[in-house]
Amino acid sequence: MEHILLVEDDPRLSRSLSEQLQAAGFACTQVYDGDMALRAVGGQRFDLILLDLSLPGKDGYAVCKEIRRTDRQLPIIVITAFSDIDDKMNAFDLGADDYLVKPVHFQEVLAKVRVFLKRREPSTETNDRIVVDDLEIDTTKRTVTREGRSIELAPKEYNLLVLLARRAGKVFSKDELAEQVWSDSHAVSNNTIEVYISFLRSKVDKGHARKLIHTRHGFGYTLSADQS
Amino acid sequence: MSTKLRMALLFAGLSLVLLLGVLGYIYASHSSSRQEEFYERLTAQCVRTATLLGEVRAADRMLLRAMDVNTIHRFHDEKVLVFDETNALIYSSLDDEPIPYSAEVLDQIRHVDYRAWRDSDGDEVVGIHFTDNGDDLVVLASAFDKHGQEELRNLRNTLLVSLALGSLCIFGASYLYIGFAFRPIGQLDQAIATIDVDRLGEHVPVAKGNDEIHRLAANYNRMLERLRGSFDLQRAFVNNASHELRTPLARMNAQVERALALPPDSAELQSTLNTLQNDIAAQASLVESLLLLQRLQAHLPVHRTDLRADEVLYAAMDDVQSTAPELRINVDLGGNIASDKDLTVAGNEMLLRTMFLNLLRNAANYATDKQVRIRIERFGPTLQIGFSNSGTEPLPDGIFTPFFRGPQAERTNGHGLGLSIVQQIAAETGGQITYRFEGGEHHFTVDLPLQG
Repeated sequence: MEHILLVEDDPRLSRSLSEQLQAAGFACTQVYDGDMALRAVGGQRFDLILLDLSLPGKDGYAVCKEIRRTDRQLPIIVITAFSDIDDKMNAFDLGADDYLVKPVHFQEVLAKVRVFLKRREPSTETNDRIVVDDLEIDTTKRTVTREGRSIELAPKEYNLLVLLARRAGKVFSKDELAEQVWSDSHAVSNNTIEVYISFLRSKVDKGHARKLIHTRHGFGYTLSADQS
Repeated sequence: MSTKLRMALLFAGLSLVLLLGVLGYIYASHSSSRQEEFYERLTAQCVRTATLLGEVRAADRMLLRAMDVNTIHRFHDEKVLVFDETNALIYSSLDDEPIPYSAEVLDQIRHVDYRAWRDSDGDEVVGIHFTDNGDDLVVLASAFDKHGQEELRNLRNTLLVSLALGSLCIFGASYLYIGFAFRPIGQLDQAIATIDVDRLGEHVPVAKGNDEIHRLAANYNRMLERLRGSFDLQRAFVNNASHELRTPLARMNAQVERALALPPDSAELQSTLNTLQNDIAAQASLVESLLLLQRLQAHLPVHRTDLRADEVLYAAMDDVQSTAPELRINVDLGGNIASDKDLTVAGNEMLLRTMFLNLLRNAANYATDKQVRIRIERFGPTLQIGFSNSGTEPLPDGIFTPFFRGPQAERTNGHGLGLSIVQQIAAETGGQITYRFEGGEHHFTVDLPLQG
């Protein structure tokens, strides 16, 4: 059962959200200020944090920054009052992954929580490291290195690379890649896939004698150490 | 002190200094030439006396005195003294007027041959060393240049009167001229002093001309026009906003009253509460949009970072799924996008996401086939993101104006703020949004400047 930390100083809103999250099948721990939140994060593992920005004591900004110093992967969704347009605009700069605006609509909370927990799913697998030749992907930290050098990838590029690397050697058609990397209701053109594959090639293969991403003409793409 | 008076005084003051300089020079020059001329005349008198003295030394010195008295060159308070080589006074004219001298003065004259000075009672004195005909004499001649000093005094008085009158005339003329030149500024001042929100349509009269003052008046009128436009928009915005806020509040109040009257377990109560919840969400969204629009229109600084526009778009696509799950989105990246720099823009993530979300919601509301096609292309330094969806007829002009609701909008929920927010965000990010209807499709195109 996924565990959510709810940091909200309004007890009524906190109780209401907590009850609804539990009813939806999540474990939920409620804390009411920034210091309690940091202590909770230090003491146990959470899958997601719902964080109100306006808190007594240490505010949401400080909590967010503090958590991001040690954990860049834990999804944080900040909750802002609707009058705080600037808070909302700065939410991403704080290291938050998304924001919700009060008055929060529980269906929206649930939708966002599910989206972020779904993105974390691969990390729950036992094998957190994918290694193909000198390419290493750490799916817990969402980091990619080749020959020990770190490679910065945008989320969709990362998802594409993970998909290819998990089944190294398998040839994926463009349609397969589109279906698995993008959501069901989103379609992307073949050309779009080609653009992202070209981005991946320039970031992963450029400057290396041994290429890992290969085109199988008429079929699709594969990631493999095999140069044939 | 008014600017008009200050400028007139300044101008008159400058003129006074200038005149004072010129007239002072004239006076000093005249005074110097008078003195020079007078010294020359005294020198001539010394030479004449010494020469005559040589000639008549053997004769009666009384005769010389008599000649001296009757000379036609006689000066006022004139006195002549002649000293021999031992500094002994050998001749003195008849006057009682003394010439202050000493043996040192006489020796000095003998040494330098000529000396002129003014004594303590204002007489001018010339001393020469006379050595003609084997004589070794020192001659001192002193007199008061009564005529010359009178002339000088008259000149000084004339110059002072001219200076005073000239300065007064210059002050008066410049005061009148500046007053004339400043009249339009005075009118402008009056107009500005009386302007208020209800009188923005009243303009300052602008006379023909192209100088700074006329341009100021013309620009002031243009500013009033812009202000009036802005106030009209503001008024319309407030009217629309209060209407949009008040009406649902009344409806929600009615729903609450109805809910209170319903039996606790009735299906109708559930339905009423559901409607109420939707209305509250719509109200929250409206307030959110109003605050965002106000924030954008105030042009306050926004924190920006380098963002991958495609990734922000994908996040907005995930967002729209919660409210419009039926919308199918097709994304096509142009082949001219070669690296991730071709997709990187400097902007605020929340604002860009809101812009894309609003465009997607717009498509979800109006697409007849519930599909939207997004085409991302690069054109030189610009990233172009086009949103196309099917439609029945072109949207009317004014779709980017706050609270604008076209005829097709009547069938959908919304407040007419989404596209105006899109336009404001595009401008805030240094880009623009355009709309066209072509081939039975609505096309919204966002142009954003690429980073670097």
